[in-house]
Amino acid sequence: MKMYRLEVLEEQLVATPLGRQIRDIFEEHVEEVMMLINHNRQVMVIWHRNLGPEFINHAVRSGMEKDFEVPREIKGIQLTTLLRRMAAVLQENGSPALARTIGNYSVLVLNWAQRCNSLHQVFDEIKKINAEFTPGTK
Amino acid sequence: MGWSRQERIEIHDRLVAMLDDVRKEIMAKYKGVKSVDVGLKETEGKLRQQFAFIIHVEEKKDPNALKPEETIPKEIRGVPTDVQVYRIYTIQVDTSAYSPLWGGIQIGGQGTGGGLGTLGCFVTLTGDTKVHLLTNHHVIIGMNGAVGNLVGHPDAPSVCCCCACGDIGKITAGQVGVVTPPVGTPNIVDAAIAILHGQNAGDDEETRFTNKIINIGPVFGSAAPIPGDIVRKRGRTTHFTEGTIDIINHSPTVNYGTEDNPIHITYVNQIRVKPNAPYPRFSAPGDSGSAIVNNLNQVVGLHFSGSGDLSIANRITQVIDRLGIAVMSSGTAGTIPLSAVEADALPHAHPVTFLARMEQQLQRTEKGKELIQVIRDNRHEVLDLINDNREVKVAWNRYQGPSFVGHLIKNAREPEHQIPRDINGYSFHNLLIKMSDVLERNGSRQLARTVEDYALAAFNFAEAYTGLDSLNNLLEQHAFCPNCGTLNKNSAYAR
Repeated sequence: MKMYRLEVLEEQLVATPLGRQIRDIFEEHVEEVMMLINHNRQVMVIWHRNLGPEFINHAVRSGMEKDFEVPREIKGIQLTTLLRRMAAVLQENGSPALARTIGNYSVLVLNWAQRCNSLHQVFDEIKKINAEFTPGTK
Repeated sequence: MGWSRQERIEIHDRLVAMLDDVRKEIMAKYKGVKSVDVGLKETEGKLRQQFAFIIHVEEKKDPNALKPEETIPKEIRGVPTDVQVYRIYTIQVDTSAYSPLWGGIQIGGQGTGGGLGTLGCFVTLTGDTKVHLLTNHHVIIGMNGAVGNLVGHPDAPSVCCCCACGDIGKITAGQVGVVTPPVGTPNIVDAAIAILHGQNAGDDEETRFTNKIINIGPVFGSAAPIPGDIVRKRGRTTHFTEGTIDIINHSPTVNYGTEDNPIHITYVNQIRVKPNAPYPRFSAPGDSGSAIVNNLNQVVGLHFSGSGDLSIANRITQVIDRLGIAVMSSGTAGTIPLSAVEADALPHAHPVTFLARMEQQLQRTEKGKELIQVIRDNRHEVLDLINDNREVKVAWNRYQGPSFVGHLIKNAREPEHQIPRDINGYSFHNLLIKMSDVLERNGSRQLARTVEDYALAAFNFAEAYTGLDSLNNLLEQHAFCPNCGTLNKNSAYAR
């Protein structure tokens, strides 16, 4: 079982236009999202009720271990359901900029969550697209 | 309480299953009880979101003057009771005149003695395409008319030796409690139809019509009523009014005679409607024959009687059954064969028209039909939630739901019109994300499951949607699975 450090994956990610775009979006919003999860009651409840910590642990592990797969469902909650409900509560409670980002990129993220079983597979998808993602293009 | 429509149906059906036993028990035990229904409880003059056994009594007495065994309990088998005074209703016919051949206009029957009423809507006989108007029996036939007589607009036809002036059609069938049902048949409809002129060989003139009701718009077939439905009608006396159905199995007694010489007929399974503010009454004399429609412009009842602020209507399902007819629909392919506005030419500003055109597009493919079924299974509940549930209503409006729908409708009419990416800071995807959340939490279990299964597919469609014509292409090229919702390799981000 080969172990990957997340830093190695990050290097691969930012080698592509879409990867850099995602990194920029991540850096722009990560603090706000963490603050909402830790301090906003509505966001906190949705995150925990829909097993956010469990899914995030699996996702991180899937980045560390190439063959590890994130379960699609834990205790009756699907990963896409968690993401959809978090998108709703974050856009409701976050800044206008966060709401705009959620509106623009939620479809992309939800489709990855549906199609891919690990962070590795998500990164593979990103590497295949040799361009930035523009919301609304066919 | 904020019940969804599906929940109201389930609760109503449970109580109706108990009704026969409860009715027998109450009428045997308490004097002065005329009938028992299931409906919405009324307190302090307002309808509540609570079902009750509605007990109609000859006279409401002071409870302090009654012995305990004479007092109707506040609850029976765990269901609240609501004691109301029994009323005798009157038929509603009047003599004023107004506009051209739409639903909601004034008409009269030959030989009815001058009484006038309202043209409800347009129908066809089952298995046929010829167009008839639908109204009450007592409006165009009554005690002295007959099948075969003429119908006129705006007044009853004046028949002289050379012509029948103002006539628009000929009565082909009618049924009412006074005249037609065989002995032992319950009285359930007061309805009649007349075929419009111009559809048979030899007719001199063609009667033009449009499958719309004044102030209401295009009609889209029929549907079953349920207590709690918000309904509208257009009649020639009170014009446009709005009300709420509180009972659908009411047993009113209607006077078809006069005060001095009454002819009382008791009906069963009738709809009762109470007016919504700001309308003091839902109907008045002259509105007889009006079609009562729900929020989707589907006919649910045929108004025929009233008393004070209460209005009574036949269930349209029973009218359809008794007369062998179908209510015309502007949204279904293959209908409206005669002198009517084609579905594609209907005013596109009305959201119901957009849905009808979307349905027309989707009907052309198998996957489209599957999607139609999903929409049909859930649309009443979704619309009820948007209209009646505070959280859903606020979300829909805050996230610019009406504005996005307006742009979709305009895009359907003018394909070059671009649907904006965002409105007032909210994108269409923000709206879909929010609505999927509130509908899932506030709707029935079935709706929650549908949201879970189809939300991602809906988001993907919204991303790629360019207009009504693209709908079937989206289903074929960007095939979705209700369980995974992903686009196939043609999607934008699977290059």
